[in-house]
Amino acid sequence: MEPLIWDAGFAIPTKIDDLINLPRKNSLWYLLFATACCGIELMQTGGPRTDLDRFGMVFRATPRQVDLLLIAGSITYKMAEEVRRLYDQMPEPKYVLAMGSCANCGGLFSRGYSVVKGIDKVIPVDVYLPGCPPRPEALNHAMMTIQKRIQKDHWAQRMFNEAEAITK
Amino acid sequence: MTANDILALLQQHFPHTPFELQQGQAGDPWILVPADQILPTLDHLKSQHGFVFLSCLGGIDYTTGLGVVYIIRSLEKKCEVTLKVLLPYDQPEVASAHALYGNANFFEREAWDLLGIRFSGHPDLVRIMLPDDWEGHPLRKDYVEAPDYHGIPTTRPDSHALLTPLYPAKPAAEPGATPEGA
Repeated sequence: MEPLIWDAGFAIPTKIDDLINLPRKNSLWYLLFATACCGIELMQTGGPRTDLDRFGMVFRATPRQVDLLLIAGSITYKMAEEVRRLYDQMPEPKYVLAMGSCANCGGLFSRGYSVVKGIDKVIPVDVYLPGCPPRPEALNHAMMTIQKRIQKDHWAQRMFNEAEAITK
Repeated sequence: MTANDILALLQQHFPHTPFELQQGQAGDPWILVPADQILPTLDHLKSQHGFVFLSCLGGIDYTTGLGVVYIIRSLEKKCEVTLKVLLPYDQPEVASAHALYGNANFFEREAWDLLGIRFSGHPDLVRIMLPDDWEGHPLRKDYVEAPDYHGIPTTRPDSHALLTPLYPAKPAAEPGATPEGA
């Protein structure tokens, strides 16, 4: 983008969606929620080597303050209903990252009786991250994929459409 | 102190109880105890011979019947003994050991949860790991998985079936044709 130099100062022409998405993707807060060994890798990703904080990503201990639900680990049927409850408590816009084989398809436990065969059977998933468990670099890449996904979002348009639908 | 020594001690104290020493293809031998005698046996071993620690209590489905395994350990004699109880499928019930060993409480709830073994006299015999409304006991060999749990399907389409095969399938050899290179 080329700044337009005016007499009184300068202005940056942009789309309202880009303007909204830029802070959204750079302050992506995720829920502190780990159910298995993927949670260890998640902690490692928050550590100094692949520092998630430099993307503005910090964990929150309540679903009411987060944008991203990270399913880190295997989800049993008993837990799946709690995951659904956490997801329902998150404010829009919300994103879900299924981390590791267990969250993707049941993984190692896909022949078992107690583990959900993929968290996409319970809640919608935006990004699937394979691995058992994925390395911190892989999780970092998945987070950046989520950022790209957010940058493409037409949130202003959606808000406008919803407001229009309400007034009609 | 081997299982043989403990069996001799038990026979001496309970002369009319048919204990049986058994040995599998591998591992330690075990003492098979009649199901109605397990509580006096455990009580005797705990109070008289110092087997104060219940290492493990588990259930097994032998397909011919169910079994309960008690592994108790004596800390002063530094030895361990395995006791087993066989139960029939239609009436899998055995006395609870929670009054002797406090940690038997959770072990027995687990055995009830996964195998459906009832422990009479247990203070709170409810499921410990699976949801309360779960149907069936999943570690039984005849357990059939339900198609869904609260609307969550328990199966996933076979991912290999979705892939296109890398090589076309070979046509079946016609009868009478000579094999290649013959």
